[in-house]
Amino acid sequence: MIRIEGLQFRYPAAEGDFTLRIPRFDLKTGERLAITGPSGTGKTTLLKLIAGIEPPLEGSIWVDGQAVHAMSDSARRRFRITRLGFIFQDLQLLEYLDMADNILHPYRINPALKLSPAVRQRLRQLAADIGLEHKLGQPVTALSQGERQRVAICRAVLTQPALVLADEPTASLDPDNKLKILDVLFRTLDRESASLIAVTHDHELLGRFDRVIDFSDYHHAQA
Amino acid sequence: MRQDFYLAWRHLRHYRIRSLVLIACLSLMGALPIAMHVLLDQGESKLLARARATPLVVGARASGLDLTLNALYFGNPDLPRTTMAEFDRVDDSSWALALPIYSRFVVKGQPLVGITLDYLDYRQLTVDQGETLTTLGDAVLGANAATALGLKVGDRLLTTPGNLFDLAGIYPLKLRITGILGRRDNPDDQAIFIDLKTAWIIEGLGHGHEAPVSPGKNGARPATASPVTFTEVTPDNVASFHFHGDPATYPISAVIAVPKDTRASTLLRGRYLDDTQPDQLVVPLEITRHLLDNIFRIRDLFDLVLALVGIATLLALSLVFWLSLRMRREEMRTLFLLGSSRLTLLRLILAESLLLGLASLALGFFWVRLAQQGLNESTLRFFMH
Repeated sequence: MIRIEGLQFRYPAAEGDFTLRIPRFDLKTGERLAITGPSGTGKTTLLKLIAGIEPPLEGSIWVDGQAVHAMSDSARRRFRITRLGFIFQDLQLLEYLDMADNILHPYRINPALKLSPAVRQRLRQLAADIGLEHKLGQPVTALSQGERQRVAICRAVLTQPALVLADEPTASLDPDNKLKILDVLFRTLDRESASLIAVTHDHELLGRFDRVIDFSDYHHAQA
Repeated sequence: MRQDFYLAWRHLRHYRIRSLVLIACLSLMGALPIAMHVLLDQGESKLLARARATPLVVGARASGLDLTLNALYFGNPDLPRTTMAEFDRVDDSSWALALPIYSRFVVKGQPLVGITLDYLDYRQLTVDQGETLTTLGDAVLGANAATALGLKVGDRLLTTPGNLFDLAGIYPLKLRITGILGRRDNPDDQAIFIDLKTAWIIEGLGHGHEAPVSPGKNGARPATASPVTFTEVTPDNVASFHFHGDPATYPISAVIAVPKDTRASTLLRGRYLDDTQPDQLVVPLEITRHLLDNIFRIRDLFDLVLALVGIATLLALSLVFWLSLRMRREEMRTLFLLGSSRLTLLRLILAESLLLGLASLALGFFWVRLAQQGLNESTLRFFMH
């Protein structure tokens, strides 16, 4: 699913002198990987590199058989739209849209995605799966944090991505809800046969993943 | 683009107060100068139409503007008066149709104008309800005056002095409303028209009273109090009304002269070229154009002020827009991460701006229409006061 070789990345000097080096990294299709480690060790940066948001200085990144490192800006954007799903740490739901429109949002901002009746049907199915079908028309501000988290998951998987990248997907939840949300996420990913890379600081959840990489021990360098 | 407009609409609707304030500001910014120009254009057109319909005006030598305003708009009641002799002079010349006007009185805020029936004919004022002036004490109301005073045909209207100390002014006379004129959208709508003679009765130049006590056998009359003066003209007492003095000396405020042709006009104007004469002749069209020139000079200044205010408002709105975009930076970052291109982001902003612009345009159009309707009736009052 993902293969990274000889990756090197450094932010511009103005943003610090951190350098991320990953000699080799692999992720299998359907694998659920957790990345943990202290802040500033490059966990989120790795997600950005995989997503093609930041281009590497050196090395290669292959995702789903495509060379992300060699893509043009527009090709990377198209790849991001069609093959990846995102769950952000602060969810980034738009409060001026209701739940349904938040989940459908990728379809409204990307001409590459067509908002067909089939997509709407999948939306209803996803909402039913997470137990929020009756709240589709409600503004997201009226939802609880756990419900908002589930909406973010739905948004990430609605486009049927091959890979979901999640940055602290359960950060703001209580322990009970964390497990529930993770179950929802895994169940949904299973149904969509998607892989997952999740950045998390929550050690209680690590046991639920197929593999865990601790960036404290991983090969990286801070100059 | 449909999706862009959908998202823009949802955003504007969610932050509706901010959106409405922006729309209101933008619409007012556009509508104010337009409404002002509409007002001025309407004013210009109405003023010129009235002036064209009143070719020449003869009156006592004073400000030509005051004389014009009095004869055409029944303003400036304190204008120096001329006399019926001047009317006779114009009338006898047979160069023009002469229409005397006595516009000195105001009753409950409406001008009380003494005229002859020729005035109604010349201005094409037709009686919509009731009948025209037939006898002393009759009054016909302009459409707006009727509404303002709440009077209908058959009602009475008492003339009263403007104030307690106006001892030489209006004599109380109960006028009988005999008719209400059709609306003409000009100053005649505001007026209460009475016959010139009725105006002179109010002025105190004519009156009716009980017949004096008959002389005794020796020819002497008993010492009694003054006979009772009537305050209303009725069929029973109309015969007792009479005037004192030479009718040629009776006051009027102006004579509207409608010359038969250009030659007659030139001849008539030639009569009043001598500045030492007590009377003058003015051409209302010239006076009005001069007045409008002054108004338009002010309009140019006002336009400049509006332009500066507009620029300042635009800058303020741009700042608001920029701050709003900064507040939405996180949202834009999310859209970018979700795969939105810069072009899509730009399209979203453009769609929102376009919706705001269209709503402002619609509201601005509504303001202008509202101003047009509201100003229709008050434009002339605005210019004349």
